[in-house]
Amino acid sequence: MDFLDYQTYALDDTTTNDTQLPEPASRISFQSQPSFTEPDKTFQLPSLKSYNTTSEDNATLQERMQRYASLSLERLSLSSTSQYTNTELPTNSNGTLPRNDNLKQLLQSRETAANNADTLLSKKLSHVLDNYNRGAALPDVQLRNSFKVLEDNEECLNFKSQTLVRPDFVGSLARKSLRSDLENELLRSHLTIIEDIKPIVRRIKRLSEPIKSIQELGAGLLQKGDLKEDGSNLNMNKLHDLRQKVLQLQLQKQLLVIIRDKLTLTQVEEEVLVSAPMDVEFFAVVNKLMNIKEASSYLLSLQNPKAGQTLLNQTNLKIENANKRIYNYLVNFFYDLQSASRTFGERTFASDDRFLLTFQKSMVYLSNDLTLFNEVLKKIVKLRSQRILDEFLSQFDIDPSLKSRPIIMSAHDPLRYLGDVLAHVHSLIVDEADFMDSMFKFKSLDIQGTPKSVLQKNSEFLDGLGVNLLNETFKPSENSIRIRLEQIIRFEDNPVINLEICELLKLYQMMFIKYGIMPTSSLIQQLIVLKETSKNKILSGLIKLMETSEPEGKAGMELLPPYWLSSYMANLCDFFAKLEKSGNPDGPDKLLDSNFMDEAVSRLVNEKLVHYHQTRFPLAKKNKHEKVLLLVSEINCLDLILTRLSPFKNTVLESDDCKQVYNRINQQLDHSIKNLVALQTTLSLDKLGLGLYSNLFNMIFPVESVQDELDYDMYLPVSENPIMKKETIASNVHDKLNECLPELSSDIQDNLVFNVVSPKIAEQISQACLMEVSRFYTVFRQTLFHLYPDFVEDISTTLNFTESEFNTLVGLE
Amino acid sequence: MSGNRAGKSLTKYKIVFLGEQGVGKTSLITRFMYDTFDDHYQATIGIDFLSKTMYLDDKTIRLQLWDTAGQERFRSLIPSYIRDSHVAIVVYDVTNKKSFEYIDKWVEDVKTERGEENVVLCIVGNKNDLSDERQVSTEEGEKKAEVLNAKIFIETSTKVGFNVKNLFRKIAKTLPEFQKSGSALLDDTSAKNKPDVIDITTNNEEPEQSSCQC
Repeated sequence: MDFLDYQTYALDDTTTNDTQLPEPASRISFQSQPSFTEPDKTFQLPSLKSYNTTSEDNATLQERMQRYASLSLERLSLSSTSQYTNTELPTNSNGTLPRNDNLKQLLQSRETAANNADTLLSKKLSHVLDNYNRGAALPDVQLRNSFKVLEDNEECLNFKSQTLVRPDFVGSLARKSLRSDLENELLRSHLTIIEDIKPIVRRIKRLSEPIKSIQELGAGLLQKGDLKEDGSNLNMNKLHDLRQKVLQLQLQKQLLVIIRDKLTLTQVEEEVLVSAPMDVEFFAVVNKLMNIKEASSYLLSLQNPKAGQTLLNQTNLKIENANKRIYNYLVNFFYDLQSASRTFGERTFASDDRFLLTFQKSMVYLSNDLTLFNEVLKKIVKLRSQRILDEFLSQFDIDPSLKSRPIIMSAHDPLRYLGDVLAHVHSLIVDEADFMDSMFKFKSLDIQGTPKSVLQKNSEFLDGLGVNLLNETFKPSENSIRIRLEQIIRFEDNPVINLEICELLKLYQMMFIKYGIMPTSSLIQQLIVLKETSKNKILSGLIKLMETSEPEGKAGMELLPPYWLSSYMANLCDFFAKLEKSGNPDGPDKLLDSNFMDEAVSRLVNEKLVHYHQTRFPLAKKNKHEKVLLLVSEINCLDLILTRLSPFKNTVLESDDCKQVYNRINQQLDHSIKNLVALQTTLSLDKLGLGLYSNLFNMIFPVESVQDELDYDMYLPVSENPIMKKETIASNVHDKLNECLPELSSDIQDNLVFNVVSPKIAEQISQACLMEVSRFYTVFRQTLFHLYPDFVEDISTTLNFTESEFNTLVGLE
Repeated sequence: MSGNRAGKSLTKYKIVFLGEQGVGKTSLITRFMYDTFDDHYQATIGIDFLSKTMYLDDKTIRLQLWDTAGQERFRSLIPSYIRDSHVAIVVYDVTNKKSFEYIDKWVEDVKTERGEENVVLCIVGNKNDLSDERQVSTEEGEKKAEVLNAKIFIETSTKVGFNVKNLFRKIAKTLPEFQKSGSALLDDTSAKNKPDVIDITTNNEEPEQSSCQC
């Protein structure tokens, strides 16, 4: 129990009672603070007259603190020295310090007060202990409460209860310093409160004078008891009216100020609009003008729209001027860019370049004035298209300083020339698309805060501007491009080259569209026209080739297909092969339609070949031998055509139109073969002396229709014909049959092998012919057996070969 | 925010990619441009174009990459693009001997159009990662490049991204714009911060595992 001061036992405590126990004296002079018991009466506002606010603002923090401390001390000394002149620590009945004490006094009396407080605390504790010894419970409760309060506010008061109860020296020290620590904490918190209250006090002080004067006025008014009631009312009404008027005027003023701010430009803004550089400030003013324009439309709905009209006119005029400035800026910007490009080569901007962003913003703002905007676009297009045209034409100049080879037209390689021209245009397009994309990319542009009605809507439209400009830029060059392409296409007749040109134009059409040229643009349309021209020239080239082929003269009876036909077919097949290689013959640009096949193939067969054979074999109708030659030639030609076309039957000629034409030619070939077989059969039967009988029999009933023995009865009427007499038959047939039959097969085959190109067709004709002859011989012999059943031997002598022998001799068995 | 009212100077260089069908020309460009690789093969139709800006110290150059189709039917278009190109990259597939043999034909085309001196000729052996299927050795490739007087020979793998940036770095060094400024390297920091700029100085970051070229 180190904290007990046994000296206090010596003190006389008989005069004090439990309720009037002296509390530990605080070192804080609570009297230095304003009393809160009657704040309106005792509170004195500090005079702030002496405060020089301007100098205070300029003073450093140190100086300000110093000044504040000195002022406080001065005031404290002024207010409380009169109250506390003695050295005795003023305490009230509760043991607290007087509230009006000041800091100075507090500091001066610190030592004495501490001593007194020590004395009091010792006294108190002695009393407590004394009471405790005597078994008094109440002081103990109070003490407990006090400690509980301390423990509850442990953190705030920096109260270390653990240290306090330690039995060692540290505990002793803590207990000794407990009071002073608590007092210091309290002092600090009070000072903080004072600091907080100070500005409030200052404000209240400032208001004290007007309040005083109001109070005086109020008191003066109340004292005027002699005012008549009526007069008072009148004055009050008048006052009320005036007050209303003042309010109205104030409102009017407020409205006018708002209207002025909202609907007019300040002088600074006017100046910015006229002469400031194109930047944020300028665009802010233009934004304001736009907003004024939007607002002025509301004024037009008033009964008198004059204000709205005037405002609208003025605003429009200003916007017009602003747009003119933007227009000039944009034109100058592009001219600068163009001239720098010419002097120093290609230019570029970083995507966040300030000048580029200003340019883009200017474009967005100018889009409100369509006339000027279009003017700017025209100028841009003019400058860019001139550059493109120069660049395009420069490739045709033979300039040795240029590292790349110039584009030169070559007679033997027209495709290369076209390829070079188109590749260069392709390169120009991608370059220009790149440039347009960098200059006219408005999506990333921040146009927030701009008037919604116009600018933000325009920006959506502006997003496609780059592509539009790209298309516009190429318009002036289109003619030059077309001329250079056309000069090749117009004069090219080779169908294969024309097909390649067609494919090339199709490919570039696709590639140009891929890089931004619109499918509806005139450049693409020009390509389409040129492509159609070259497509048409494929057919016309083939027809020309067909028509210019001169049939050979009559010299020699060569039955092989003529050279012109082979040449034509070679060209046609080259074309088909190229088409096959190109990939997509059945696309939207289908070349091989029914018209093409009719013109290029059917016409060849139906007109050209017919004419050729008519010219070549004029007597074919009269002369059977010439007719055979004609048919052989015809078969050879048709076979050639079909043979050359057959590789493409399942590829480029797969379509129904093409198949139809192919099948028609095939039918024609079959027909010719059939004719040749019939003719060759007739000739063979004539050779065997059976020609007349064949005609006779066929007139009664077709020999080929004979199925069985009963059918022979159909020929019974022939017995009446004089040529059917046994003797006549014997004289007409027997010798010829025996003479020619053994050689019949070789005769037919030799003839055909020499003349018919296709051995397959030759074999087919020979077989068919011999079978026909054999069939007739069989029918004829059997019919004679039926007619003359009594003269079988005679008939067997005349037609001395059995059917089997006949077939063996002609090589059918 | 940078530049002036007339923008910055910009030199464009045309680079044409040549080679047989399926050797990986498009993949090479895709790897360089977007650092991606697509396993799904899709033949190029006609001629494709892509461009990229590169910054070198205070210089800006723009590479125009012309990707040609390897298919036979588009062959006739290619000389027109070689005609005015600054760099010709002939690509072959190290797993396809035939594509390697055709290099001569491509180089001949380049020399016919541009001559010996006016073009930077590069020979690139692609698909270097497929070591099991390799049909053309690195030595063969180097020898061929030497015979054909190619300025650059490199083996790449677009699939794993090996040596692709290195190839373009080497090409950049041979361009007149870069040679003027000595052996200046690309400005790493400025390049990395730009959205449409390729950093080609990271050859050290190439995956090491694909350096096996045996």
